[in-house]
Amino acid sequence: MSHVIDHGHAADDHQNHHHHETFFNKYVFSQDHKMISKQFLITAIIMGIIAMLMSTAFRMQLAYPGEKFPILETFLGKWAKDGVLDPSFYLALVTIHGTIMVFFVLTGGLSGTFSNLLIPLQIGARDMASGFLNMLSYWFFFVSSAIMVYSVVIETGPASGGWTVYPPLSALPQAMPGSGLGMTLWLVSMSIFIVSSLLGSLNYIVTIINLRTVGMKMTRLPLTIWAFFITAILGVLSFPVLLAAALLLIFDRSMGTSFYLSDIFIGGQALEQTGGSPILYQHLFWFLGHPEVYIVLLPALGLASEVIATNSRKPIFGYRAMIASMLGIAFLSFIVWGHHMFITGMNPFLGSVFVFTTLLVAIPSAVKVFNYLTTLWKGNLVLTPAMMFGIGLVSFFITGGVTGIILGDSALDINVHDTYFVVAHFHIVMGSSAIFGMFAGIYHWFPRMYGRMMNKKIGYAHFWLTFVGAYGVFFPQHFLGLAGVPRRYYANTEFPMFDGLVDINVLVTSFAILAAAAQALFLFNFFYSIWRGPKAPQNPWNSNTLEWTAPVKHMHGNWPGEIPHVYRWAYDYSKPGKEKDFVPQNIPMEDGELDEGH
Amino acid sequence: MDFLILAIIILAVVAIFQLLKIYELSRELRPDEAPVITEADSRMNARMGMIFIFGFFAFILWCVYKWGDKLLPEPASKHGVEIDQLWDVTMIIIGIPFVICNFLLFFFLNKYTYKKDRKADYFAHSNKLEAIWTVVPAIVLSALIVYGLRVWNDVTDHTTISANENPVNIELYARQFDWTARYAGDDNKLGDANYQMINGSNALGLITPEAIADRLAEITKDSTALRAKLDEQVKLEGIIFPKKSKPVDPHAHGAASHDGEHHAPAPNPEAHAKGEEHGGGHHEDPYAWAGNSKPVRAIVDELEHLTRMKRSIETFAKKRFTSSGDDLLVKGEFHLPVNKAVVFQFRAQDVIHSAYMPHFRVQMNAVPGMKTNFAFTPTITTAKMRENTKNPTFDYYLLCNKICGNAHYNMKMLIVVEDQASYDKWIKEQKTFAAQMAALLAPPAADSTTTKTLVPPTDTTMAKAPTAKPVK
Repeated sequence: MSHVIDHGHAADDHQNHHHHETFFNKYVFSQDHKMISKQFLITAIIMGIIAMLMSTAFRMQLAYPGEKFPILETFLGKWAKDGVLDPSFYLALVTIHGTIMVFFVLTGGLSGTFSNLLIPLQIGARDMASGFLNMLSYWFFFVSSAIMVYSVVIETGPASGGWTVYPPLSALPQAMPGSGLGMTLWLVSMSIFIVSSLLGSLNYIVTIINLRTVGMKMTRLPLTIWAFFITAILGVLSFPVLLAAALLLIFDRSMGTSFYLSDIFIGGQALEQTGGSPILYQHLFWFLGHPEVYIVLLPALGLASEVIATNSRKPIFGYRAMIASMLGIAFLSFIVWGHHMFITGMNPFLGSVFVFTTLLVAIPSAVKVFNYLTTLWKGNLVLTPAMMFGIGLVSFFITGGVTGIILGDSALDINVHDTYFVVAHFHIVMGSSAIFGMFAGIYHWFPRMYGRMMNKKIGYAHFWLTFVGAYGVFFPQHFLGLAGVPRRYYANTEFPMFDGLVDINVLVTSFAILAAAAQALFLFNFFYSIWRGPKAPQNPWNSNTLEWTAPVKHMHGNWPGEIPHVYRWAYDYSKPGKEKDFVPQNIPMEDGELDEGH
Repeated sequence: MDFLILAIIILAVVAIFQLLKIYELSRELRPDEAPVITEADSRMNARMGMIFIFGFFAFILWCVYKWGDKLLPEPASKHGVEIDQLWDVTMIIIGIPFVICNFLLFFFLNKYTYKKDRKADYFAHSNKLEAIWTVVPAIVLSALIVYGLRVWNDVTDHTTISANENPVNIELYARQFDWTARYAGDDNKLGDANYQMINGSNALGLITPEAIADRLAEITKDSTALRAKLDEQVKLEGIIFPKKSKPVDPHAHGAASHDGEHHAPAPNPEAHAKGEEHGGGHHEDPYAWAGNSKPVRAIVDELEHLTRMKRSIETFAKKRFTSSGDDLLVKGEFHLPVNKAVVFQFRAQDVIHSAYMPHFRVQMNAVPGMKTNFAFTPTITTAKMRENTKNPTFDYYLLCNKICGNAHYNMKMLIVVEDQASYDKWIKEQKTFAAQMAALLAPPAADSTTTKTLVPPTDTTMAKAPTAKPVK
C-alpha cells in the first residue's frame, strides 16, 4: 500500500509544477485519461451515426424492395442507380454496419470511453498506469476507424461478406467485388483496431491491479470497475486469436497459402490450394467472437449496476454474486464458441458439448437479472434519464437472453440458424442492451465529463422513442425468422413463401426510422449541453463513488491535494442510522458501524 | 476546388478552436443551476413504464394474431415433429420468466417511485435468495439440456438410417448461384468427384472414364495453347535462353516454329514439377532465364499448374473409383418420395453455402473441400401440404442460407414431395450424367461411344467459363 501513497504524492508534486498545456497536448495528443475518454466517445458517436445511417438505407430496401429513393442516389452514387440500392452494396452496408457497431462503437467506443473515464477516478488514481500507451490506444483506434470509413468509398466497395468475413467468400476477389481491396482494408483496419484494444486492455488491467488508493480493496471496487477489469482480461485473451485468424486470411489472400482454402473452383479456374479448411477460420473467429459478445455486454452491465444502485438509493443486491456471475459468464464465454457452428458439419458430439456449456451461461445471466430486480425492490427509485436507460438495458437483457436458450440448443438452432430470429436475438441482447448501457453511462457521467448537465426532458423523450423504436425494430424480426426468412437477403421477393411478410418489414423499417430520428434529440442534447448546459453540482446524483469527490474543472492528476482514502464499499445507500441516504466511500466508518458489504 | 476545401477545413479548425475557448470562458461565468430530478419526473416515467409494459405485451399478442399464420406450417418431416415439440416446451420455459421479469421490472418502477420522505430498504444480500435463483435455473436448464441433446442425437443419427432404411441418396451441390441435385442412380451410390475435373461439360467435377478423357484432352489443349502464347511472349520480349537452360520440351511447337532466327523453345514444366517433388529445399530457379518478365512467369506458372492437375487426375484415374456415370443430375427442382428416408450429401464448388429447407426443419452448410450430411424422412406431400395450409400454390423450397455473394438472395431450388409412384415416374425421366455429358460433347456427327480415344474437344466445350454452361 505504501507504494500507492508514494505514487500519490509524487503525482501531486508533478502536477503542481507543470501546468502549461498547449492546444495540441490538451485536446489532440493528450495523455490525460479524461480527455482520451472524450476522444473515444466523440469518435464512437460519429461512427455510430455512420452505422445507423447505413442501417436505415438497407432497411428502406428491405421494406420497399426495388422502389426508387432518389436520396440514396444522391449519397451513394453508382451504388444506388436511379435510387435503387445495388445488391452488392446492400451486402457491403450490412457488413460495415455490423463491423462498426460491434467493434468501433460497442467495443472501442464503450470500453474506451468508460474504462478510461472511470477506472482512475473510481479507484482513486492520478491517471492510467501508462498515459502514453493510453494515448496510443486512442490513436490506433482513430486510424483504424478512418481506414474502415475510407474503405466504404473506394471504387470496388468495402468488404461485403458479412461482419464475420468467412472465407472463402472473403478470401477470393473473384467471389464478390467487396473481397478485393475493400477486404484488404477491412483486415488492415481490424489489425490496427486489435492493437488499440490490446494496448487499452493491458493498461486497464495494470491500473486496476496496481493503482488503487488506500483502502480500495478489490472487494470494495464499484461493479463498473469489476466489469471493466473482466472485460479487459477477456479482450487480452481473445483478440490475439482474431489477429491470428486475420493474419492467416491475409496469407491466404496474398501469398497463396491454403489455411482456409481447399478444392475450390471459381471464375473458371480450379485453384491450387488444397488441404485447408474454411471451418478452421470459423473456429478461430468465434473463439474471439463469442467472448466479444461479453466484451461488449459486460461494461454495459457494469455501468447499469452502478446507475441502478445509485438511483434506487439502495445497495446493489448481491454484490459478490454479481462479481461471481460476471466471472462465470467470462469463463464460460471461452468454451461456447461452437454454438455459432452447429450446422457447419461439425461432429454432432462436439455440438452436444457446446450445447451443454452454452445453456450453462443462462444461470449466471439469470442471477444477474434477479439481482437487478431485487435491487429495485423496496428501493426509492429516482428515475433519471440514465436510470431509465439502465432499466431499458435490463429489459432487453431479459427479452434477448431467453431466446439465447433456443439458439444455444443445437436441435432448435437447425431451423432458425442464420435467419432473422438470430438477428432479432443478438440485436436485442447485445446490440440494444449495450447501446442502452452506453447511453445510461453518458447521461449519468456527462456532468463528470463536461461539468454540465444534459437536459432531462429531451433525455426522457430520447429514451422512450429509442426504447419503443428498438423493440419495434427487433421484436417483429423474431416472426420473420420463424417464417424462415434468412438474414443477409437483399430482398425476400424471390420466394413465394415470403410474400405475406412484406408488412412486417414495413413495420420494422418504420420503427427503425423513428428510432434513428430520435437520435437527433440525443445529438442535440449532447453537443448543446457541452457548451450550454447548466453547470453541474459536485455530486449531482448523490453517488458514493470517488469520481464525484474530484473537482469538475479539467486538471491532470484528478485531485488537487492528496488522493482520498477509501473506508467502505461503494453501495452504502440508505444505510440505517445515517442522516443522508448515501455515504461516499471516502467517509470513515463511525465507531461500531458494520461494513455491510462484507 | 482544392483550395476551397482547404480553406473550409482551416476555417472549421479555427472555429472549433474558438468554440473550445468560449467553452472554457463560459464555464467560469455561468452561475450554478442545480438540475433536479423531481418526484413528478419519476412519477411520469414510472407511469410511462406501466403503459409501455402492457403496450408491449399487447403488441406481442397482436403480432401473433396478425402473423401467426404466416409462420412456418407444421413440420413436414419425421424429426421435424420432434424438434417442434422441443420448441414448444422451450417456449413455455422461457416465456414464463420473460413475462414475469419484464413485468416486475416495470411494476417495481411504479411501486417504488421516488418519494422525498421515504427511505429505501437497506437490503444488500441474502445467500438464501441467491441460492434459490442459482439452483432453480440450474435444474430447469439441466432438464432442457438433457431433452435437447436427446433430440439432437436422434436428428443427427445418419448411420442408423443409412444402415436400416435403404434410403434415397442425393447430393446437393452448391455454387454461385444455383443448386444441382445429384441422385445416386442405379447403384444407389453417389459416384466420386474431384474439383479438378470441373469443366464446361462437367460442372460438378464428377468422375467417369469419359469425363477423365475429356478433361485430360482439355488440359492438353490448354497447355498447347499456353505454350504457343509463351513462345510468342518470349519472342516479343527478346528473351534468350542460356545454353545451360533446363531441358526443353521437344514437342514444343507453334508460333516459335516458323520463326527462323530465334528458336525459342518453351520449357518443360512437367520435368520441372517432377524435379520439385523430389528435390525439396533449396534449388536454383529453373526459370531464371525469364528474368523479371511477369507475363512470362505467369504463363509458366499456369503451365505448371496444368501439369500438376493433369498428374493428379491421372493418379486418381488409375485408382479404383466409383463412376458417377449412372448418377442423375437435375436442376431447378427435385423430387422426394414421401415417407422414405433420404440421406443428403452436400458439397460446394466455390464458397460456403448452406442448404436450408425450413419446412423439413433441415439446415446444413455446404463447404468447399468437405462433404457434409443430413438425413431425414419427408412425411407430407406437396399436395397434402397445399390442403393443410389451404394454400393452393404452396411449395417447398431449398434456400441458400449462408451469404455467398451478390445473388445469394435468389439461390433456390423447388422441392416436390410426392407418392412413390409419381416419384418413380419422375425419376425415370431424368438423364444420367453420362448421357448428359455425351449429348454436350458430341458434335452432331461424332460417335460418342468412342470415348477411349481422346476426342479433341470442340470449340464450344473449350469455353473458359464453365459456369455459363447448363448441366441439363
